[in-house]
Amino acid sequence: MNSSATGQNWPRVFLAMTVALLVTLVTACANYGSNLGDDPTSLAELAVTGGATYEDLTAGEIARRSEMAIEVRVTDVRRSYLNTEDGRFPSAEDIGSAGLGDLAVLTPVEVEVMRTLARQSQAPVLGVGESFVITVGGGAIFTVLDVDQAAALGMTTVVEQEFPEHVEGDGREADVEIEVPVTEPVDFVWGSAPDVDLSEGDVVVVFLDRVLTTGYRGATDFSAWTPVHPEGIYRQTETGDWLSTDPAEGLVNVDELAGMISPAE
Amino acid sequence: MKTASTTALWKVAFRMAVITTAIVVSVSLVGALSSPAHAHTPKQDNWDWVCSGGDGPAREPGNCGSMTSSDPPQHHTNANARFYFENSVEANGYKNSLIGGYLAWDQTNSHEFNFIRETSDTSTNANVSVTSNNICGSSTAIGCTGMGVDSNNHTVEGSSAIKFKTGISSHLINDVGAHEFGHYLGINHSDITVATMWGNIFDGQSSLAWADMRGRCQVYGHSHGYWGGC
Repeated sequence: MNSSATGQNWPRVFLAMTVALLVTLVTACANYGSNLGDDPTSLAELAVTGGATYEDLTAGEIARRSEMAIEVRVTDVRRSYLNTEDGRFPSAEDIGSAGLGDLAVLTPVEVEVMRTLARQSQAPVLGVGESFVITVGGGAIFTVLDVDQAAALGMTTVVEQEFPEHVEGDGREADVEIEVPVTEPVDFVWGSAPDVDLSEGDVVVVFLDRVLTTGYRGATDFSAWTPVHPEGIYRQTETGDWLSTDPAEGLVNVDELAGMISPAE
Repeated sequence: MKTASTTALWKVAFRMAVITTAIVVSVSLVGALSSPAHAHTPKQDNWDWVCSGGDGPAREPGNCGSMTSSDPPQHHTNANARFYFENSVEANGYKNSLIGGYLAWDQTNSHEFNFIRETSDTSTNANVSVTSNNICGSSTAIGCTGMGVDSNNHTVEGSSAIKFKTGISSHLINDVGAHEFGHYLGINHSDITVATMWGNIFDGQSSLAWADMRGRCQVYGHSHGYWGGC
């Protein structure tokens, strides 16, 4: 009798165990990944890196593509901004739908004009001593995200760390910190420096044209005076000559090059 | 002697067990299929062919930053880099040249690394497109790659974009394509002028140089299990 009763209970026990297993399984699935958002002080680092390839141009070809050549002294390398609507790092939602690859880093470099070598008619007339801003594109971004934003980007590994002093906000909003002033369109990774740098006090001749950079995710486009080419920036030597960063060019006659700028476009 | 209700209970329990087993097996299969084929971790400590300006052992120490085995260069966690050609690639006649560009890296099947070209847009690939707009904020940039990297130097899959400018010859696009796909792979510029990853471009650069192969091996190694000699 007892054994019969026990035997009749086995299906119930088996059924209960199966249901328990199923509930456990469903619970585990429901909880999967939810741990990421538990600790609001957990942060994840995100860098945006990349690189550009430029047309292989001679100094003369660079000059012919320019609208203006000016000799300047760098007075200030300003904080970089991004091609988003407000110049700041986009939201995780925007990144989720548009990715990071269309982000462009733009760095305003304020210069004091020493002379204008040549310009097309539509280019601005710049007086000696006048302040002017050129904008350099390219570079890498380093930012700190909170765990929710990181999870939204598919980053499954986060790093516990102190919130850096240089990042504003309360830890829930992402901010952008450009790792170094970006003064040359070169690619580099977090912790390294660009190969060529424009620093305060540098005297250079730069060949410029006006470039329209498309805004990220429908943001307003950015129009700026930009070096035509990374090799279109010449530095003065101690002997007063002008040196190209392209080893194949060496010393160049910047006035002769500026003469190649067509007078009108 | 079993009663009718006991038999019915056994049937219910048996069905539940079958369903649960099926769910467990399905979840396991989905998990296995959706996980990376294998978690890839670069094994070398010396990244002198990978980092920006990398030109091998002759380079001054320190130029590779803080890269160590615990802080390796940027890489794809599963050694697969997925991408998708937007319609603009074919519309501008770049498709075959760009295929040649990525195959330059992929043609050695014995390496762990593989490019995978998706046939549709997914959330895990890099979108390759051709545009008449200025890219990377410059009027003379003809190729530009951007991608997200997390704190472990893993590429954030789906965050990347590779862009090319319109109106470039197919021969040049083949070279530039190989260069940009090299960036997507995780390799930075090289100072070696004959390398695909040299900062500039010239004819014939789509064929990998020794420096490029060294860089690829330092990040992704070799499927035969050894990391040296490649």
